[in-house]
Amino acid sequence: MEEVDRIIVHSLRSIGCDVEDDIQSLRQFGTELIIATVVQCLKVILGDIDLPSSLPPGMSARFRLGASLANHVQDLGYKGGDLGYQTFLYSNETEIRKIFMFLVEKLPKESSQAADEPIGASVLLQRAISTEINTQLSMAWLPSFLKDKGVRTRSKPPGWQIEGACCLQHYHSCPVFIPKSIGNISNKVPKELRSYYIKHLPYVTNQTNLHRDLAPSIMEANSLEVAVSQDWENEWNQIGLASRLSQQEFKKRKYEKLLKMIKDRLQQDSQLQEKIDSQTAISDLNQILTNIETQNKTGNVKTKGSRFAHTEKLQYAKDEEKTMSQIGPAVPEKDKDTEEELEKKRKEEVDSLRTELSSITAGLEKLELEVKKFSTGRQEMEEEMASQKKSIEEKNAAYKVKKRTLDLLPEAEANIEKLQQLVETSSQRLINLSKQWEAHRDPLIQQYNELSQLNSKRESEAEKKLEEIKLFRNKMKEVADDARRKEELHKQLVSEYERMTKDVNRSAYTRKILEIVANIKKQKQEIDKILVDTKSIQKEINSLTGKLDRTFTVTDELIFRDAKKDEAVKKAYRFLAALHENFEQLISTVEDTGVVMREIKDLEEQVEIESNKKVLSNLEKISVDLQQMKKENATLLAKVKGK
Amino acid sequence: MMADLKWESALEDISKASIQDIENLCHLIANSICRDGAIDPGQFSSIWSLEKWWQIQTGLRGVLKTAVGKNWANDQISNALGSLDDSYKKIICDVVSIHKEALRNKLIQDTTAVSHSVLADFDWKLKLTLASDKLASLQEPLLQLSMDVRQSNGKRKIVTVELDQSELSKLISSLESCSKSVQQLTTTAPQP
Repeated sequence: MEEVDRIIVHSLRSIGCDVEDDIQSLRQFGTELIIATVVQCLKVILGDIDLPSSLPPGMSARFRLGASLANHVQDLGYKGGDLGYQTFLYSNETEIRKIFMFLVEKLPKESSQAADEPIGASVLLQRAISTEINTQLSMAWLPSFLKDKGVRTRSKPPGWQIEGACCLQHYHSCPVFIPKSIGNISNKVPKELRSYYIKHLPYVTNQTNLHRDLAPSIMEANSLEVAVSQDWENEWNQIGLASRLSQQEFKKRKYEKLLKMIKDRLQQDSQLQEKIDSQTAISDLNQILTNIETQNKTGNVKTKGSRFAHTEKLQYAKDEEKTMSQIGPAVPEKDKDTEEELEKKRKEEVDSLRTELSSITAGLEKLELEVKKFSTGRQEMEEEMASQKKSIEEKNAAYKVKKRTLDLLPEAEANIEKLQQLVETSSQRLINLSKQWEAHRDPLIQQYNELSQLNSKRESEAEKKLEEIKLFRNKMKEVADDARRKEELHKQLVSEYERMTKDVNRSAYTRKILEIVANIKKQKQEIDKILVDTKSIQKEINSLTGKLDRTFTVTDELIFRDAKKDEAVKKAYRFLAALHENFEQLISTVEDTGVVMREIKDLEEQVEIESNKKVLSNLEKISVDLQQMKKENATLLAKVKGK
Repeated sequence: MMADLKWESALEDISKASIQDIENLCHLIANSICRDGAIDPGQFSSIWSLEKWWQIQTGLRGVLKTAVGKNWANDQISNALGSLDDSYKKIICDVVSIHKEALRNKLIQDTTAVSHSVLADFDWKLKLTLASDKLASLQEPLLQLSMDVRQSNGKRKIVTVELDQSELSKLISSLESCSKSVQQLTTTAPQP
């Protein structure tokens, strides 16, 4: 009962009823408190009701209030019995408890559906955005000169916001110098670098030219680092591991590849440039020259650059000299004569130049033809020379052989024998050598086979290990994702838990409920036992009375038959009858006692209930109120009559 | 490379200043090369006149750039500095070694920007057009992309482009394919 009362009082307090702190059970609720709380409950449940929140002084008003309260509660669906004004004005603890339990259940539940499912981060973010925009929109408009660079402070919720577009700035980033690898003591930093960091390096906020460039520069430096490391990881994971080189070797090889590619490209392009018609080459190089000159003037120095700028410049320098020599004579000279004479002169010049040009081109063609002839002649001569050389060599060799034989001719036979022996020995040596070679070759071939097998095995093992590494990496990523998700979930649940109110101790309730359930089970078992007992006793009683009747009739007949003849038997029969009657009376009195005791118990219970109803005090109150009502009626009548 | 007469006189002037000042000056020059900024000659006005200041500055700048660009060792640097004191030479060599990375990056950037324009920075604004003169309710989100282009003559020009959603996605996909092709080019270049 106390638990129920505590819950009721707590929920009444939470809807705003003014219940004092020392009131813990419903027995302590006075009439005014009951009425005030019931009115508050009805207001919360039904919204706008035109009910006064405290007990009015006039008796008739009180009566009307009680009746209306009873009506409302019955409209809400209360099925616990008859309600009337008396239940509120002259209250009874149990009834009040029932009514309050009903009303508290009917109270609208606090909206906690939102906290039922764990909310995702994006939904939280959207809700935060919408609340922020709502607060910002709800503020009144301020002219721009009252805001310092568009920043405006507000008091509730306390904070500041930026309004308008006057404070937007251009995004311009500069390279910033951030000390690297200082936190790790094992990394060696050269002494001059360390002294630079300590003495000369300005803070990052001072490194940009303009203060507004600070944020963009830092963002760019950060995102550059992140992008580079991500790119490197991707590349290393996909290609680097597959190539099975260490990191430095991989980087070195990539660097060399790139250098070679750039060199090839530059060489190709420069060769292409040479093959193009000289006129367009001149105009292109002119453009490049003018570009370079303007760049030099504005101070963008390109004369001192990396290796490739240097090679570029060298090539351009060579072409520069060519073009300088070609441009020189091609520049027309300005004349100071009159226009007509100028025109004539020009025409004459043009004609002469044209004739010269045609003669020169004719000469060029002739020369080209001759050059071709000479080159073909030269090629033929070269071929002849080559063939002649070959024949000379052959003849030399033949001459040597013949000379030898001539020398050997005088002692022909001995020499022939010697030669034959030589041939034999050399052939034998050949055979020996080939045997040795075979003997040497076999183990080497075996070794070679074994080593190639080992190598292939190792390669396949290495591939297997690579695949395993890839699998592990995937698993690592998955586990990391899982861990992150669970951490987020944990954070959400912790925040939800903190948000929830801790006034109501749910574990105590659950424990009590479980205890009550266990108690009820025990009681039920006991009741069953008692029922079983009762049934068995009843069966015994029935069987015993049956036995009794049967024995009585049997003895009765037996003795009655003999009673007609004998006197002693008649006496015995009379005694038997008296015995039976007495015992029957005994049994009936015992039964009556049992019934009377049960009635006593019932009556005692009723007495308790009635005593709880405080009938006497209520009766006194009613009589007092009746007197008051009579008085009020009389005064009203008097008023009406007086008017 | 440098006008030798002027450089020699500049070396004398360098020797007039203290080591601390020269150290500060070298660091400032290195930072200003990286950041395209100018140095305030006021801090050194007590030591050198303005003309000498310009000489010294151009000389030191030239030394730093050639030293990093041609990857000189410390001996070559000290040879190029000629008749300067050893302590000053050591300072200049130290400055070169400290700022080598950053100066090298800057020189490479400048070289790769030869003869065409380069995107230096970009900024975006998200706009919502509510209505136009033809339609009363035109709730369309637009992205205004303003690109800061550094041209080959050194001037910066701002190019602004307005994109709607489909165009923006096209731009993003084409940039992604560019990056992929660059990646392929760098990683699967032919074997040497």
